[in-house]
Amino acid sequence: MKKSGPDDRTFSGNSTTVSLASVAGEYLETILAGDRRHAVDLVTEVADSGIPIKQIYTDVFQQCQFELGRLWEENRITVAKEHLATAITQLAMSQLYNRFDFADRVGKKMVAACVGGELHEIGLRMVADFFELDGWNTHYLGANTPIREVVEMAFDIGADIVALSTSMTFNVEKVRDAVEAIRTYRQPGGGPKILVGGRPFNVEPTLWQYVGADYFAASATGAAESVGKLSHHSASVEGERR
Amino acid sequence: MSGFPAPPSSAAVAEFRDRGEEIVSKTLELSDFYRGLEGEDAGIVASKMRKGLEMTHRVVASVAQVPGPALLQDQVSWATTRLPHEGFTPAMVAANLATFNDAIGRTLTAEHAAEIEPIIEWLIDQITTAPSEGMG
Repeated sequence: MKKSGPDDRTFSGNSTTVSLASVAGEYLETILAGDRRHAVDLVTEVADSGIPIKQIYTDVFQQCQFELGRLWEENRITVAKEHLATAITQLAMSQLYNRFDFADRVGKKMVAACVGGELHEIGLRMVADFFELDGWNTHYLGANTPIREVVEMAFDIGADIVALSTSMTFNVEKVRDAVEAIRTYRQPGGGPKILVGGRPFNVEPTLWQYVGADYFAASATGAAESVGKLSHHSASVEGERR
Repeated sequence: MSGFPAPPSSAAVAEFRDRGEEIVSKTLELSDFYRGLEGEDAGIVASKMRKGLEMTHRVVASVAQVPGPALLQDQVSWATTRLPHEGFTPAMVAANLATFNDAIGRTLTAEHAAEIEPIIEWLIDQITTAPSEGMG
């Protein structure tokens, strides 16, 4: 990851060539140092300059999370450091929420959850925030949610999409169980569409079919794009029915 | 072994999944990995081994029927990159997997064991031939 320099802090939301690599470098150093205040200042400053929130998520937060994972796997940072840095990013994401430039509501609902003991929730939170930005009403349940609770909430609120995420390969089985539970609850063959994502799905691109999902996305951007197609399709189908 | 094994049947995976606790306990029983250690050290190693074996069991149960080696290859990468930092060299992991496979053979029906064992053998083969980058 590129290190930041004194001249790299210039950015403009109007520039098509803007790169947040230097911001990401500085942000990574900041969160590893445990400096919450500077980390939040850094990203809010970027957001206030006009850089889209989604770009900050993908080019700063997502890149830093990937880097944290790599550093931990190579034993270059401790578990404590990784948790510290991730917690700061969750704080920073919260601080950006009041800067969200929401699209008009599209009348769609999402339930997003990690199941089966899965604790790595930040990627899913990014997905939920992207949908929120796109005008969806998202019910983000976070880490380690019991499958039955996910299913009941999805049907209770009439969710259009359930997003399930896992970072750990050993939780793929639980995602599959959750998909089956959704498919067979109350109205077999009906119910919400299912979007899956997370590291194992990126490693094996056919895995989403194996678990029985409707969609897979390798990133928050991809998730919003692929389900966006559904949103338009459903809208036109509903229009035809009226 | 070089080729990636054919996916096992659903019945074999179901038995493997349901009898995971027995397989893990049998592996620990058969392992001489921590026999020379005493007291707290033996307890720590046994605890780490159990956790690792439980994870291995869940990984294999999760993806045994997924065609293609990518997910298990990713676990090999994990074993050769991360586990040395937890005190387990690739040789140790391979030895533990061999014991795990032995336990599978002693726990599952012969027919189902014969379907699962090639996956573990493939993992052992990959771990013992993987470059040791990232270690140390």
